[in-house]
Amino acid sequence: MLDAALQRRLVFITGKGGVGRTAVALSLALAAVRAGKRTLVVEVNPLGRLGEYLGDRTLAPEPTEITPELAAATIAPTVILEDFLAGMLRIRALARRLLESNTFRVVTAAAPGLEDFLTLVRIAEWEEERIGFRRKRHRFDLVIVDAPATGHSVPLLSTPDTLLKMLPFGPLTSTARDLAMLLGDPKRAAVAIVTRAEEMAVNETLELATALMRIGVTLLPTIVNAVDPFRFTRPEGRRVAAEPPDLPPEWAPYLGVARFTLARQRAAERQIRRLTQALPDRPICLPSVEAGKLTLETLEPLADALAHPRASTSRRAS
Amino acid sequence: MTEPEARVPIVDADQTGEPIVDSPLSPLLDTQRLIVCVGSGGVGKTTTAAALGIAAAKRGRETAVLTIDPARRLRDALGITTLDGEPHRVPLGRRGVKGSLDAMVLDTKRTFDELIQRYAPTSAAAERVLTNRIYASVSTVLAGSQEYMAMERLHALAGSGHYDLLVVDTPPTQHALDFLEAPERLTALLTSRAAAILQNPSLILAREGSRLAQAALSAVLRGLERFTGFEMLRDVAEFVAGLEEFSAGFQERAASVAQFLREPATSFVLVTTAAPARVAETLAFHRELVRAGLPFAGFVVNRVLPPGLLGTPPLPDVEPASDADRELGRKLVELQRRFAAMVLAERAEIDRLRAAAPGALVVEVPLATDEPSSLSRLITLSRALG
Repeated sequence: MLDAALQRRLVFITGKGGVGRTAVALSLALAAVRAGKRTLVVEVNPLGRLGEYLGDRTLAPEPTEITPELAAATIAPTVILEDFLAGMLRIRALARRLLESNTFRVVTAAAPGLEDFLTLVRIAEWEEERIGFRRKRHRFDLVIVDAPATGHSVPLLSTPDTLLKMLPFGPLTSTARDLAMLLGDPKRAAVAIVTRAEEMAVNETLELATALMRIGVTLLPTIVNAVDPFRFTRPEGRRVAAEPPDLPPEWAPYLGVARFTLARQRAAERQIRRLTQALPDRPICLPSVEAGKLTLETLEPLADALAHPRASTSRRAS
Repeated sequence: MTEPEARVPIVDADQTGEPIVDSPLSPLLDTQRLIVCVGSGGVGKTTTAAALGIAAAKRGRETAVLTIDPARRLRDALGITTLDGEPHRVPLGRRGVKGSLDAMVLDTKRTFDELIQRYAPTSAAAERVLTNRIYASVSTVLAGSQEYMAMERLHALAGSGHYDLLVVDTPPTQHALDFLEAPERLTALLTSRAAAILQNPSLILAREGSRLAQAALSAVLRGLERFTGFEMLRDVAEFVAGLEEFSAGFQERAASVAQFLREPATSFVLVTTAAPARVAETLAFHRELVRAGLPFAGFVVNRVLPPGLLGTPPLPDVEPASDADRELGRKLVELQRRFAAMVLAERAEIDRLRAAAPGALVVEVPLATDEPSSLSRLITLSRALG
């Protein structure tokens, strides 16, 4: 998974709400930094928690340096709209005033895709940005986007195509064409879906994977987040499940919890097997981390698992 | 608010051989006309609403569950072939259920269409709005319209007299009360001021009222027109002006929905899990409900670890007879320790809920080994709820 991501310059992380997209995006950024990549992680959600995970920082619409190799930014729709309007108006105060009006919200609602389009333009600018003597090197080797949840990520990623169909000629056409080429270029951009080993999350993942393949983006292996690292081996599972259990009789008080955990483990394995069978690549499992406050340190095990999936929680279904 | 009552077994209505036990929510299922489930995303709100509906049907009530989640999984779990804006009967019939359960999904666009048809002064006025090019995108995108439409549909259903009880699953929102404020927000947008501004856009910048400001605005609108590729301004003006004709009707309706939500026969149930982050959000929802004077009844705590699985201490030492036993024994002890710690943490979270809302009903739904993806699993789940 990590190698596949590191070969690209732009990786979108999407998935069902609540599966841990932000934690996975940040873990992938950590793993990329360790592999020597200068990485930018971008959150497309004004209410997101990326800044909180990075030590309660307030993130800006411009990259903030977290470490010399890691930067983070947040994209809020109102800010990019304001920039867009300011670009047209040349007077920021007027742009801000316009944005505050309820009526203007109705007007922008009537321009579907405008915010998404501007978001992608901003991300593409960071992907292309060059610095140094004669602008020889990219400012970032890898841009990781903590993209919106399932329902919104397909419209977001298909905005350039939608726009090109709607407006084959016009001032934005060449920008839209460049964006469509970037998103559709398997060497530069790819999308990873984050999910959990639960039936509903897997159903949604399979539908999302189909929709993403249809719009022509490259899929990275799916990431199954929060997989319990505890597991019974197959022989152990058989001994616990046997009736009567194949255990010393005095161990009986431990049996309730053991059987419950085994049943949960098997249910999770069934869901991981569904993903393995339906998707081209084997999913990558990330261990659950202790509940509580997420920080760069608590995400280390996830970065490890992304870099060395077999050593940590790769599992065969029993 | 009453203390949870003693659990009284009643007849086995679902013929699974297990007695149905009254839950603290049973009295609500017997007497209320509306139960609103509120909670963060991913806590099992839709499933809880469906299970409450089943529980009420088993208790003899004509029930409908209105969900915003059109997930195929829920449709399959309820054993119906279609789940859409129309009521569909959930096949509980063979199970000796006295009442009935219909399920339907919230269809925002359709509810909006019906609303416009109902309040249009003439059918030509309705037609003008419904055929407007931007109506389709605006009617779904407009802030709060989904929440508003949920309330609107509810009100219509309650008035239909077809059902004894409606159970509604609200959209997952940052703020529990978004859906309640939605009617006001929507009508505010549609007041004559908005329409006037659109007919004379320079009014947005009235304070700047200068020629410069007017030039600025028309530059922006030209830019947006280029982006959208059609004469958007005219369409928006037509749309808003068209809706303005209905706004008196909307406002009256909004007031009546607000009233309906505060009736004694309405109960709000907060759905959560025992995870600390979810409990913190739930406590915030609870404060909002109380502040808004809405009839809060209790909490449904989903996916609670069954404490009964823990063996009674002191647990025996695990003495291995072989290497394989040593490893398995170590795992059993480790699991036991971990499970006990998690149970303890969950108890503490549930105690926080009880402390924040003394006297509120608290129903714990045990974590199952798999998700409720069939009708029989939902029926099992409904037993925990009433």
